[in-house]
Amino acid sequence: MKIKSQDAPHIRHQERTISLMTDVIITLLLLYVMAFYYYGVRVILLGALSVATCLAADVLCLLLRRSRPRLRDLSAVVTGLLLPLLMPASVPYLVVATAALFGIVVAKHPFGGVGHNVFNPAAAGICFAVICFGADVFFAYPPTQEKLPAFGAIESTIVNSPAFTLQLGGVPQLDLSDMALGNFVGPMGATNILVIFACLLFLVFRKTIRWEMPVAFFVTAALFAFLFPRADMPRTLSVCYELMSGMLFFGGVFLLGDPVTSPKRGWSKVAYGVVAGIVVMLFRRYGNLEEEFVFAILIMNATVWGFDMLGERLARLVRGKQFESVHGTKIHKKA
Amino acid sequence: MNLSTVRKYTKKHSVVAGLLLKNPVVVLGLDLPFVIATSTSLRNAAAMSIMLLCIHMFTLLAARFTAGRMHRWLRMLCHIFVSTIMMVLTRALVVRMFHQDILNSLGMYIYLMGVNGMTIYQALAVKRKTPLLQVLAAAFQNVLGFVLVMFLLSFVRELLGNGTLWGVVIPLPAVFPGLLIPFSGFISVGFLLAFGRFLNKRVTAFLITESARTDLRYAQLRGENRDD
Repeated sequence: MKIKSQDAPHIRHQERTISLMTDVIITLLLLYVMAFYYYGVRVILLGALSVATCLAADVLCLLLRRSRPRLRDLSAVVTGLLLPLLMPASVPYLVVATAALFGIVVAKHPFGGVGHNVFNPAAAGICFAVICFGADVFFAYPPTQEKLPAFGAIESTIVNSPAFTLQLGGVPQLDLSDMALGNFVGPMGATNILVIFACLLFLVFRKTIRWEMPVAFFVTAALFAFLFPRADMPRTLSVCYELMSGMLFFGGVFLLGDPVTSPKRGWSKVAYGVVAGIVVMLFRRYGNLEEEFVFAILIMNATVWGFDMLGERLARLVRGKQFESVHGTKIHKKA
Repeated sequence: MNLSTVRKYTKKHSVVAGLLLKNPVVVLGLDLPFVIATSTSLRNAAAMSIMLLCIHMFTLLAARFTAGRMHRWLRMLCHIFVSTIMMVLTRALVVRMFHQDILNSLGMYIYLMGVNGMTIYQALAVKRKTPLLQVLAAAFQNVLGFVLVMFLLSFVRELLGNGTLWGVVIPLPAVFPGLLIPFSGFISVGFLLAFGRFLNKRVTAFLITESARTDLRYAQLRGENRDD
């Protein structure tokens, strides 16, 4: 027998942080292209500012922690790209920079940086931006296909989003095919439902995210919308509007599926997706803001350890049962 | 190891220990809820500082006289009684100084000050043999530590969260009202705790290096003497 002498780790996998991050960046850039088509060059500038702020804050925090900044770590770029996509295209630059700074300096590095953060930095940044500049982040959506100026005051009509209409108990008067194509107002990256769906498929096939969690999340949210419609409308229509309005679809793919802030095992992922679906829908139903997805996500992020612990115990139990069925004896625990 | 250097610096540091290295809020984590919830304006900071000064000093003074004379549990009740009476008195003083609005601004925390952890914890730690002046000096240092943290956080949170300082509007390009909610208080205190730990580590490292250097110096001197 030929024995190879190699240093640990002996189990290797092609997946690395850079490959995972690159996959997400590719999909996010696709959404930027769509947002650019709808709102013009301002979208690109917002994205560039956000990425630059995130990178600068990341490098600064790493230097303060006496670590060497790693160019191959693209997590700050992902956070930077995610943030503006969850905001209206007319959002002031200051709001984006503040959210980016908060996400990296407060939500990421105090917990140990990439791979250790308890809360999703992008979700935390958006939450802070909502608390500080609520009127600029929500309720201020410019109409689609209206090219916005890159600098200076934005003078455009402000349109209510379908999420806002649903929150008021109304029925959005929108064509479903228009909604699928992203031709409706909302956060600039979260409205392109078909593109996001394509991104989800890409990420699942690339194994960047596991399919269990998004599927469990969307099925639960759809079931909730079917059973408890917020307005007087057909139940199937309620499902379509709930899933496609606001940032639910986008967040379900990009925020909920974040490998760092989600459970590690398959069954834990399913349970997490189901509970997240219920919590998000409850927040939407009883919350005061038009979109409370990010707040619900932060609460769910704080419970990940519990899902991991339960998943681990379940896995041990299953392993024990399998051992018993094969060997006919119980596994004795060490004292 | 030669400990003379450590002793020298420890003596120097003991003068300002309550302010930085043994700050009751930053290092010991005492009275954190008051700092987190009420450090939203300089007025609040001043009101809470005045209240703590009166409550803490008088309760520790009483503790010095009751120490060793009654059972621990009875002492605790006695301290709570004294601090609550002081809270009622200083509440009236604070209302007189700052206007009735301060009661709305501070909410229940003004009443909770009567049973604040720092006062009760340190009152129970007072020994009968400790000189009265030393007790009062330690109490004053602790209050100064609280005042320092309270004013520091209040300054930052009021300026950036409300765009004012002591109620006076300061023109700023942007304000962040999110800094005024208790969640931001937790985060600010967290950063301050990290800074406190960093400072402590630095001072300890400095002391170790200094004593090692002194050791080396003594060894060299001894060597030179032997050569002579």
